[in-house]
Amino acid sequence: MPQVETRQRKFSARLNRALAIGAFLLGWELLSRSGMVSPLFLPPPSAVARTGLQLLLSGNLFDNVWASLCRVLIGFFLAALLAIPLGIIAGMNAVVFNSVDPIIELFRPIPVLALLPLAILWFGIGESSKIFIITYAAFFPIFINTLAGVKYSDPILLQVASTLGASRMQIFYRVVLMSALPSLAVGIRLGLGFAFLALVAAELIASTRGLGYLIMDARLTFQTDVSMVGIVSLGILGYAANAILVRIERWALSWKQDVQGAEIV
Amino acid sequence: MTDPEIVIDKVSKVYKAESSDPVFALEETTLKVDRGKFVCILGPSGCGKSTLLSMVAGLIRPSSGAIRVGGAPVSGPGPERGLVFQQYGLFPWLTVHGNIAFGLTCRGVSREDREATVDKYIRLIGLSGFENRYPSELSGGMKQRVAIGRTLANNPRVLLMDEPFGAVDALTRELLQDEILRLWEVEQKTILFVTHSMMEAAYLADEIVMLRSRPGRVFATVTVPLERPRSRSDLEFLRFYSEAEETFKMEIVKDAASGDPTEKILGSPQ
Repeated sequence: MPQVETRQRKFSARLNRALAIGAFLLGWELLSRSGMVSPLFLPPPSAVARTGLQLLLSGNLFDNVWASLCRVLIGFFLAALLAIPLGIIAGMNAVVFNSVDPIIELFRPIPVLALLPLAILWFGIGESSKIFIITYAAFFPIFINTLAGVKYSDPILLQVASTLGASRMQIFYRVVLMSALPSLAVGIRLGLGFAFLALVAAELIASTRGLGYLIMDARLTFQTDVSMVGIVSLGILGYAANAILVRIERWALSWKQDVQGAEIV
Repeated sequence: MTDPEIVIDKVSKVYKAESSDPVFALEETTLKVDRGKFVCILGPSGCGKSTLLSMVAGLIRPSSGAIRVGGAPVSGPGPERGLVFQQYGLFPWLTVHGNIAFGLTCRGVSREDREATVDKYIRLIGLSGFENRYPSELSGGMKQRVAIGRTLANNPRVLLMDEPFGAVDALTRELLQDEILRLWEVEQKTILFVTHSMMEAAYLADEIVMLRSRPGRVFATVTVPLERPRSRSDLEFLRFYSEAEETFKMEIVKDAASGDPTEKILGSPQ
């Protein structure tokens, strides 16, 4: 019975994973409780969980999560709004590609953190400098992957469409866009990852709200457990955002077998 | 007498490279195909047979000469000339149904007519029950059936096939050959079929146009004197096949012997 066998294997794999996480947390707990590492620097997970619950009940955690989430989503959507149309146009038109590509390649290797001081100078320490940084960081992966998806769509499929009587517009939205979708999906997921990275960097340096602020502010007053709550919250947020994108991707690209068959997130 | 369905009138194709001499992909070629005929274009690689087919499809412009299909000059791709590729060219994001409906949808055929036509061709290619499968879930033979069905659903005047069975295994190839003969009889299409297999050409064609390479040109046109239905093990068939193959190979060898040095090295068995 192969089906039962896979179910068993799946179960034992899950058990394996759960045990590993449990062992990790237990080791951590023992490490800080035994006094080998000062709980001031490394609070045990039980203390972090307790602090997390308190922050959750007081509404403090939610305020900061909300501030971060708004920034990351606004920045990410702005980036997508700019990068997708520009990527499509550059992928379709050689003149646009040759004009845009060198500029993109000039800016791409610059780490986004290097722009932070200037962003603060230009936009102040309010929301706009953070959204600028996040948009900037998320733009490149979305743009480059959209461009590649459009530019390298299978020429055979374009020929097939034209011999079947499709017009130029029909070829564009029925073939070019459709065949660019998998690459676009990769760009969007990478872009979201970059957006989170830029979010934390921006909030660590100059902010009065948000998870990055929470982590930094608590560190200054040696509330290590609060910092840890902020870090774990970021992890959960990033994981959830990625999981949602994976869901959408599986639904939109259900025709791709490797997407359908993918079990690992 | 009616006019030929396909007229290829003094057509040639030259590729001009900036750094080197122009390359003749196809020397001046004239060919007429009557309505309802099954014509195979046979030649080694590099003889310009696919180039010729792409020009009839309107994907490549001839350097000189003109092509007419059904009396109308060819100036670009069009649904009246259906093309089937070796690599299938199925849209991976569309189901079997969606692929077959593609041309009809693009041309704005009403939903009712479209559904009826798609159903008809799914049945005709023997893929009932697979309507909602995606190409990645199909075998090579099934994919090529879908590609053929998709082209036929568009109701083209002529069917152009570019080594359509080159990517499938030998057994599937024979099945697909029988399949295309059946569809040809049902649909009464004119077929221009590119292949490098004399066996395939002898089994399928009314007429075989033989090309040789560098530069590509037609050196013989043979009418296949065999009755239909043909059998691959029939003595008459085998005799015709081996004689034709002999003639064909002699020409190719002649080319290799008198051709450029690279050809000689590549062509001689080690």
